[in-house]
Amino acid sequence: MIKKLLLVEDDPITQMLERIILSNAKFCQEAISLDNGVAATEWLDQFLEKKELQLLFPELIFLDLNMPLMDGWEFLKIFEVKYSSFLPSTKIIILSSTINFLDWEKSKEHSLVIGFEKKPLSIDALERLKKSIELSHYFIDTNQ
Amino acid sequence: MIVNENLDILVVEDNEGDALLIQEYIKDELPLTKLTHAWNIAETERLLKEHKFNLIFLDVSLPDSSGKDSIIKVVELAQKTPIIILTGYSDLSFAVESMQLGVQDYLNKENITGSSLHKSITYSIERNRIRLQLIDSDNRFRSIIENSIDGFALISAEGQIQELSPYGNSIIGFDPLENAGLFQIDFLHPEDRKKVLAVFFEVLSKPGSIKLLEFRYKRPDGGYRWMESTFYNLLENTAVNAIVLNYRDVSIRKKEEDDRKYLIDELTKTNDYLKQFGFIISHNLRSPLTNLLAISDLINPELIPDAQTAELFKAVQISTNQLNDTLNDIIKVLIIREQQGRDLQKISLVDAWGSFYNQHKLQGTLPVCDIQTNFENPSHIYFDKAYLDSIFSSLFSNAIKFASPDRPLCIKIKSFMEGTETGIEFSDNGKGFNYQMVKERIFGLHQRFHDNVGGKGFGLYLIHSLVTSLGGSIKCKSEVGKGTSFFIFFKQSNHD
Repeated sequence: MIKKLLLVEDDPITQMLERIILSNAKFCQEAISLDNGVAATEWLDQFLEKKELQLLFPELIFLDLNMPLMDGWEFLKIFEVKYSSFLPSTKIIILSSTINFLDWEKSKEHSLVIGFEKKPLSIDALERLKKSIELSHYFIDTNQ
Repeated sequence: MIVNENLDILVVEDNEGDALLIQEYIKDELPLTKLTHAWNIAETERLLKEHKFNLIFLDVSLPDSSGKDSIIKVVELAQKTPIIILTGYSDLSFAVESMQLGVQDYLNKENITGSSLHKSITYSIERNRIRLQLIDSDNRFRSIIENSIDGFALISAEGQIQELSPYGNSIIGFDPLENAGLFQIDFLHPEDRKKVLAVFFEVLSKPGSIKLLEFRYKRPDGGYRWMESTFYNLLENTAVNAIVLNYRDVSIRKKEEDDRKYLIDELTKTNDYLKQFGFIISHNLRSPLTNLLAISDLINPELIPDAQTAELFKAVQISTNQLNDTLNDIIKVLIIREQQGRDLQKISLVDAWGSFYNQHKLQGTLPVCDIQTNFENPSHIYFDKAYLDSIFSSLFSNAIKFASPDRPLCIKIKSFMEGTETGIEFSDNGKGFNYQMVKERIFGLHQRFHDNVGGKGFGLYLIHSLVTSLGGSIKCKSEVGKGTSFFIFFKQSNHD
């Protein structure tokens, strides 16, 4: 199971539902909800400031695209430049209600993005992710 | 040219001896000539009114008129007939001057020879003919300019303007007959003055150059009119030696252009607004809708104890899914409308189908049915991969929606070549519909042909939009109870 997961999502109902689905699918031990890109970068800043704390890195980020203050694309750019070197094992999955396949194509330009999931998040989708090459090693016990 | 025709010559001479002498000479040189003699101006006047001569010999000192007066009078009466002056030594210098009054030649009476007379007659007639031709051609040219609906003006290198055409006067607001109007720089619209002068100096610097220009010109009533003009540098052309300005009133056209531009601007604004509105609405609808989808997925109706509530909840689930399908199609159409001019790529059909099939198999969105494919000829098309994916998905959801309850769904997909066209045929064995009744309207918006299924018509509209946005076309055949076939034609290559 994934130990720590970031949920960057502005809609409180969506947050609540995703937490239920994550829990039902037994996908992660801890999910931290952050309301937008700015909140996410502020939360990540603690790794830059207090490296000695050896905080538990998030292994995965579920990133919404349309958010106020800082949207998903902006966050991606900042993450790549500022945080990715400190969080080398953190992967990103875009979780969006967009059905614009051009967003899909755009996300492929970012190497840290390992997936693009359409909302709503479903248990089926999570089960599929558990078996993916990038994430399967977190679920060796459950997959067996 | 040698004068060999039967000439008709009038000799005006008051001296009987001189008259006889001249006539003798003419008879010797040109024996076929018909001769008439007049003693004075009065008689000449009468003869000229009655008869047209080929040539007139005129003595400049006559009893009833002499010198300049005689010449002017006879030139006027003779109209186009050439005149040769007869003089003595005493008024030779006057004879030379008289050439300017329109006579062709002069002869010294005291010094006439047969050959000089012959030569003078021949030259005078010939020179007169050329003169008349020139007058004629000049008149024709003037008439063209004066009757032209364009304004013409000549501008010297120093900027002096000379109006040529009466119509030009009326263009700039003056009476053509009064000739009061003159094209003037001062009457140019202040905003255009610099531009007009710049063009004028540019043309001035290059002999032979032409420039087109539009500017506003003030009429006497104070209103401005749009003029379309050309400046043509003909300074090196010795016959013209000016810059030729040619102009016409294009105010009506200008106004139409302005109106059209305003209309296009307004339409573009409205269109952009509608597009934005469409995106905002559909995005704002999608967020709560995905939540509804998640909620209806999480609630297990079997755990609802009350039967009616459970039934109602199922209706909520179905409605939510329908809303989702419709909204997805609307958004896709909006995206395609926004995406102009995507490049065509060469796509391997086997690969494209393979990736579509695997992805949808994985997500469980493909129906359980028999699917037969044949992508042998042609194996490639020129299209957009993402669009093709979208078309496959829409065709599948359409086939599932209208599957027949009487038999298991079977779908056949194959590529084909028809003449020079390449295409894909997508057939199902579903319910089908009466194609004759609906024809190509099935690809329009909000068309529904099945009474019992919640078709929204968006799916086919979406396919049609995708195909036509990249230069292709789509056709359909269908028969009730047999099934439906779609034929999608693609552009041949990305080079046309």
